[in-house]
This record gives sequence, structure tokens and C-alpha cells, in this order.
Amino acid sequence: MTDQLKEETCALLGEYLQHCASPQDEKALSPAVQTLHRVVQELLEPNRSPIESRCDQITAEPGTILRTVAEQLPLDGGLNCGRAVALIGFAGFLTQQRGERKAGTPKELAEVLTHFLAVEHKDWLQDIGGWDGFCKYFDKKRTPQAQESSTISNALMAAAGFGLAGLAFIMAVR
Amino acid sequence: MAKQPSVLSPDCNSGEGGQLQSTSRQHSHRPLRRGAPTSLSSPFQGNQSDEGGSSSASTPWGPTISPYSPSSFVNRSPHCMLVRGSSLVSKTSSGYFSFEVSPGPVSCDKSTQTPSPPCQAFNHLLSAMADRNPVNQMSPELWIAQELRRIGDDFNASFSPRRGIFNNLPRPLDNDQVIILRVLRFIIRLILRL
Repeated sequence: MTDQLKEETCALLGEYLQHCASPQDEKALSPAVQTLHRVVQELLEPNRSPIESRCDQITAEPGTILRTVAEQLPLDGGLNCGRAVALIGFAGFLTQQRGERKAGTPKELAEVLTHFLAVEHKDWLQDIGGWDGFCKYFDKKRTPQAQESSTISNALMAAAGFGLAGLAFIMAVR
Repeated sequence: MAKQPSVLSPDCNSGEGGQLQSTSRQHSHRPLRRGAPTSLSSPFQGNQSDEGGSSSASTPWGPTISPYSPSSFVNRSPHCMLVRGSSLVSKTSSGYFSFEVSPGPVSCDKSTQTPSPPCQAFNHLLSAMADRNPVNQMSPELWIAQELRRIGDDFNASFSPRRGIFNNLPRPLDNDQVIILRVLRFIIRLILRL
């Protein structure tokens, strides 16, 4: 079970980091990686520049940086899905070369992340249901029902607006 | 020694609260102040010779005041002596500084003084900024880890309640729709009546 989880983690993260290292690759991504990619975009995009500028100050090896950051991550409240996504996004960021910092190889970074997530925090990953649970957790966000409801109420609001406008018009004519 | 006019007396007056007198009165009280220091070494001689009629007439406690009464010692409080710029004061001029060995301080000794309130506020601000600065000076890895924790926690928090909200949303939305429908019906009725 553990080995299987570890392999799955390594494959998933390797694929994701490979995609980060060469985004122009038109290789089809697996659904889990697509979810991961989307969530990372949502999470890290607004905060990208301050982290980038800080990261440029570090001249250490990307693997060492990632290990150091990962060690600090579970402080103050333990690991959660948001933090894990943030770390994975950060690893994706480390695959790109910027300034004096060397680009990390996806394989090396994936190994560091796998060790962190699937070995050190294996229990947490199993608790959330592995990567399937992880993807479900973030897929729940899209609830079609809410969108339908908002469409209906938008239409009703538009109708009410027209009604009010008509009323005002009639009043004005009189 | 007591006869030499002391410059510090008017300054002291301004700081001593209870015995504050108006500027016009300071002249009449100078003899009292001048006399007061002598009371340290020889209380009765200085006071009686200097106080004359002027101070006794203007202050109710003038002649009857005891040289050892607290009110007269207020003038000699260390605070009063420190606050006053004592560069003008010659040390040997009165009994004020009889307990001091070194020559009078040319300027106030900053180390023994409490800073003024604005100065204290400023110092507090500076120290607060200094406390905050280490955040900028912590190693980039730690800062990044802290930032990732914060971002991740925010993201996680935005997910968990959102699921709750989505579970509860249909009801408020239904209510909204009902309200909008009622408003529409009201408007239509109104139009028809017109």
C-alpha cells in the first residue's frame, strides 16, 4: 500500500513537474495532474511575484531549498491540502531557472516531494484518501447547482428590472 | 553662600506644581527661593534674613513655614534639579548641590533622565519597527515557508467553508427567487391596475 502510494505520488508529481519545466510540451495530462495544475494556478498566481523575488535571493540547490521549505511547512497547525498544494506549486516554480538560481530537475524535486508527502506524511495522505481524495477535495468546488441557481436569479432580476422600468415609463406617460 | 542669587529658583518654580506662582509674583518670591537652599545647611539663618516682608506678605505660609516642611523640600527634589538646565548654575552658590562631589554637570546627563513622552513614543515606534524587521531579515527559505503556510491555509479555509456555503446556498437562493417573484407580481398587478 505504502509503496503503491509512493509510486503513484512520484509518478503524479513527476508528470506535473515535467509539465512545469516544459509547459510548451503538448503532452496530454492525466486528470489528477490537470486538477493539480488548476489548483496551483489558483493558489499561487496571486502571490507569485513576492515569492519569486525572495526565491531569487537563494543560491542553494533547488532540492535543498525545497527540502528546507518542506520541513518548515507543517509548523503551526500541521499539513493540510492547501499547504501541500502550495508546496507542490513552489516545487513547480523551482523547475524554472531564474537569475542566478539553477533550475531543478523534475525528477529530483519529485523525489523530494514524494519523500515528504508519501513517506514523512504518509498518514495524512492516506487520511485524505490518497490522490483520488485530494482531487475530489478540490473538485467539489465546482457545484453546478449553485451556478444554475445564480442563472435563474439573474434572469429574475433582469425581469424585475424590466418591470420596474416599464412601471416608471407608464407613470411618466401619465 | 546663601546670598548669591540662584538662577535655578525661577526654573524650579515652574516645575513644582503646588507652589507655582504667576510671573509677576516670581520677583517677590525670589528671596524665599534664594533663602530656601540655605536652610539645608543653616535653616534659620538664611530664611529669616532673606524672607523679609515680601514673601511673608504674599504667601500665607511665608514666615511661619518650617524650613523642613515638605513644601520647602519640594524645591530641592532631584527631579527639579535635573530638569532645570544647570549649566548656568554654579555649584557652590547654594546648598542645593552640597551632596555632589563633581563639578556641576555642563549639560543634563541623558542616562539619568526619563525621555519626554514624544521621545518615548518615538523610541517605542523604533523598537517596534526593529522587532518587525527580522521578518524581512529572516532567511528566504523560512520566509517562503511561512508565506506558503499562510497561502495554503487561506486556500484551505476558503475551500472548507465554501463547501458549507454551497450546501446552504440553495435555500437563500430560493428565498431570493421567491422575493423577486413577489416583487414582479406586485409590479405586474400595479401596471394592470393603472
